[in-house]
Amino acid sequence: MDPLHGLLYGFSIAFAPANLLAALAGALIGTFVGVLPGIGPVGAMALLLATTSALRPETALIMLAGIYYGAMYGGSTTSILVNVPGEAASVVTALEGYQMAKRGRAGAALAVSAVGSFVAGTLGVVGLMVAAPALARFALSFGPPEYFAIALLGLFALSRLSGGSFWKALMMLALGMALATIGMEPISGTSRYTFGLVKLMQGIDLVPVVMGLFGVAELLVVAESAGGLPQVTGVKFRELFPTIAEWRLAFPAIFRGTGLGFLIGLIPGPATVISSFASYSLELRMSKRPDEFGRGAIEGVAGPESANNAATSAQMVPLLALGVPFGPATALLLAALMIQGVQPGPLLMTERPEVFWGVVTSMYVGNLALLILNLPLVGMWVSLLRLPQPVLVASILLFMLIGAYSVNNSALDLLVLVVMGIVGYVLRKLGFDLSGMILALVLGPMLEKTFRQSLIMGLGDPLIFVKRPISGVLVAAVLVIVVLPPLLRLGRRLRRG
Amino acid sequence: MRSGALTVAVLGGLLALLYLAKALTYGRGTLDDPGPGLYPIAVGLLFLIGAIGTAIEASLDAGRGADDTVAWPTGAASWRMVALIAVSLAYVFLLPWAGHPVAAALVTLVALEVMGLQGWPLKIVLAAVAGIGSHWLFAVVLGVPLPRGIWFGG
Repeated sequence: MDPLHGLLYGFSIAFAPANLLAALAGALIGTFVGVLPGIGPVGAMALLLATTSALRPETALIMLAGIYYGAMYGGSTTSILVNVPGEAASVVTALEGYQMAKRGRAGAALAVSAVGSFVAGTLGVVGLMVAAPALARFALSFGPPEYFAIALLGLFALSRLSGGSFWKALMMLALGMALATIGMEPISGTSRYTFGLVKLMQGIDLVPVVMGLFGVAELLVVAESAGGLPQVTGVKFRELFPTIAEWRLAFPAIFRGTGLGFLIGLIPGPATVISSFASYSLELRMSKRPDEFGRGAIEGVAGPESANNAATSAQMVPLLALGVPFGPATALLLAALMIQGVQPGPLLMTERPEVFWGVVTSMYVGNLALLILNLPLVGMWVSLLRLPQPVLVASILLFMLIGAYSVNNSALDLLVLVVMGIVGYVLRKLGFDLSGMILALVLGPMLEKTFRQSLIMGLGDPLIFVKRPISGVLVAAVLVIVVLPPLLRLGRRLRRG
Repeated sequence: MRSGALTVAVLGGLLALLYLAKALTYGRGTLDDPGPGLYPIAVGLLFLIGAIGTAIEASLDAGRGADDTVAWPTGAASWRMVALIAVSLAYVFLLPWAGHPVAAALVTLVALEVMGLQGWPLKIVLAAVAGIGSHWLFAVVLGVPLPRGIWFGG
């Protein structure tokens, strides 16, 4: 199916009432969790993952993807208005956005942010439509060694690029891989690490783990501070119009951010966060008035907000074309498809076109809905910040308990949720990044399967991973990622004497 | 942070050793016909390397006199956290016999109280609404088989 026919077919899927509703629900929930500091898109997606088994695969994915990119829109609101980023990718928006708000230009910052997100989201989907089929065609020649190397590259890149200690990240990554080995091993049927518990034979479910690590742990952080949400003043509709001079500065930044964000989104790692910082840095370097940065430069809002939305679309490329997620949010999208028995990969477009094209085109619809939700209705989202914190904490905790239980109707999952919440809280306090652990938990079964298949293919020769050109390049990239930074550090130390 | 990281590294290292020991019992097979134990052995080694690396890094940080402060909660903050964890565990154990409406109302009531919502009548009303409302939404509308408890016939 060529892109034009795919697009038309996709619109027929996206405009089906259930899918339209799913896109709108995802956009609404995404904006909601993006606006509220606390539970982020990953926690919200995990919360709803349990309910998606009752939906059709494309409907489930449309809703979860809506949450993911919706959170990017919503995250800017609190960054700009109260200097509290709703999620990590909006941290950099606060730098200039809040300064603009202090100068009475909050409305302009919100408008530029929403329009930038819309432009980037829409162009990002065009990029996704072009890049995913091309990558999928290329990937038809991939075998187990290539898939093993891609997954390994994704894991190690995330570990290196997440910031903080590589060793801590490596430990978390291995812990995720270890958790993925619990249960019945698929080839020989051997039970591993079940300790005689029948309930563990099916393995550790992803939903309570993610909700515990990202949701319960976040609630504990909120409970620890319990300072209440900041007081905000409303933004009136008539204030949402940037001046012509502001648009002149913002539009080039939007397009630069879109291009940069899309390219960064194709690389393994925490793309939405990196792209927003990279875009801010680019705007600062290209600006004819760099002294304005830090005092409310509109380009510093437009670029990063566009970049993180474009990166979101780009992150769907490896997921839909290869079946390999490069971050925790796309890992949850993969998990949603696996729950439905759909295996994304190069054949997804031909075997399940309704999933591929339905999701891609629903992103156009979702982006349009988000523009409407985030501009005229900005006052409604601002008023969310006035909700009493105890009510928010109580309802989110209750939803998480119900969500964890509803996966398998099992008390064991509830225990996993609570234990993982405590573990997640302690590890976050000690500076451990948990996103690699989630990605490893999702990719674990695939890593093991392709690892064993590769060895069988190579008749026991472990060099099969480097002898094949594509996997060889990918393994070399893994080595560079692991070895180069410490070597560079060592070199700098030696030069300093 | 380094003493905390060191503790986690030591615990992680022990966990990795236990994981490896168990992996060795699953049968490694051969390289051209790998058994169910081979991949867990590789994972266990990676886990151990990560733990050792973290421990060395934490020790080196200690040698450089790096900042060792982690703001662990104390007083009211620690009480709020313990109460939220305890009420979540209470939900796990209450759910099978007390049922979701009652267990959910209890979770809501405790969470509202520890997070500082004022006024008992309001808290009780919100807890009741949460218990009954969430049961209606999830069990009746969405069909999640949440236990109703002994008071409501199972």
